[in-house]
Amino acid sequence: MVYWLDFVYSPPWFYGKDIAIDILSAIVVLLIGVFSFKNFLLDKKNKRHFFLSCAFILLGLSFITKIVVNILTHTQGWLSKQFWLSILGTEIIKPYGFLSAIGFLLYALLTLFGFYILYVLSSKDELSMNYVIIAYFILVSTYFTRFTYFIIYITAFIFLFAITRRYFLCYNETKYKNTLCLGISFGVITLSQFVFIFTSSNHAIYVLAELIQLVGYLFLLYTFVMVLRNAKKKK
Amino acid sequence: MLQTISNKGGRIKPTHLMYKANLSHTQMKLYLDELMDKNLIEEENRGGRKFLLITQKGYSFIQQYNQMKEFEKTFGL
Repeated sequence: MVYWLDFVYSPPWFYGKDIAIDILSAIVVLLIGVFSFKNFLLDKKNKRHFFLSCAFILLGLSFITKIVVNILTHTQGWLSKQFWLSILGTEIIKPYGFLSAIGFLLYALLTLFGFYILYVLSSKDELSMNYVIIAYFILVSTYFTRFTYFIIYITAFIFLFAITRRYFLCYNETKYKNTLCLGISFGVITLSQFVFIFTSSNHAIYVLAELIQLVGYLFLLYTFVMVLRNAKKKK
Repeated sequence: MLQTISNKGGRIKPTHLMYKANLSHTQMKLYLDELMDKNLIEEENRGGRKFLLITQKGYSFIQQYNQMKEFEKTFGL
């Protein structure tokens, strides 16, 4: 038997605002993704630029999926009860619920693969079969997310925790200020994923998690702007 | 080479570039041909003396390259 979950835990007064936060987050990651792809075109020998752009573009697509799903879910009530009832004479809640569930799984898959690629890139190790096995486990986690929504947030939290740790280790080696900023922004995003785990218990926690996520991605934007500014200062 | 010309205000004599970039004449000619083919630098004759100039495309390339290096440093790529 298949159970489709109800994954939107936003309180009604926060509808729309969470979408705005996700739009902003999507813009930030897509901006970095496109920039990284341009770097790859400049230096095609360095495949890490390509993978970094893939990671951020996947994260951007995951946010876009979440936004679409949220819009679908938020409009589901009036669309089904008023619009569809008057047009077709019947409610179509089920197809919308199905689309939302598929959308959520797609969001989970894209997010986890995005963070996973970032995790791989934050290490200096060469690509090996271990990564294929982890990729398999991502698919398994996504499958189980159908039954227990917070598995995606636990998995994302673990990836992000490892990424943040590696950026801080990198900062300890290089003492480069932008790497510290990057570590802090990923640290804040990690915290947001941790808070997301508990969203089913209290709707206010969802708001808190979204706000922490906003701070994290704004800090990532700040880091990106600092990178560009530092490059401009260079002669 | 581009960075060297840029550090000299965007204009340099070929002999100065050869010394600054620590290249042999053959190496420099090879690189110069490539940079000129890609319109990153151009030659200018002023008062019978030859100068090498960075083009606008050359400046934007340096800018892009610096951004890429900063990005690599930040992400530890």
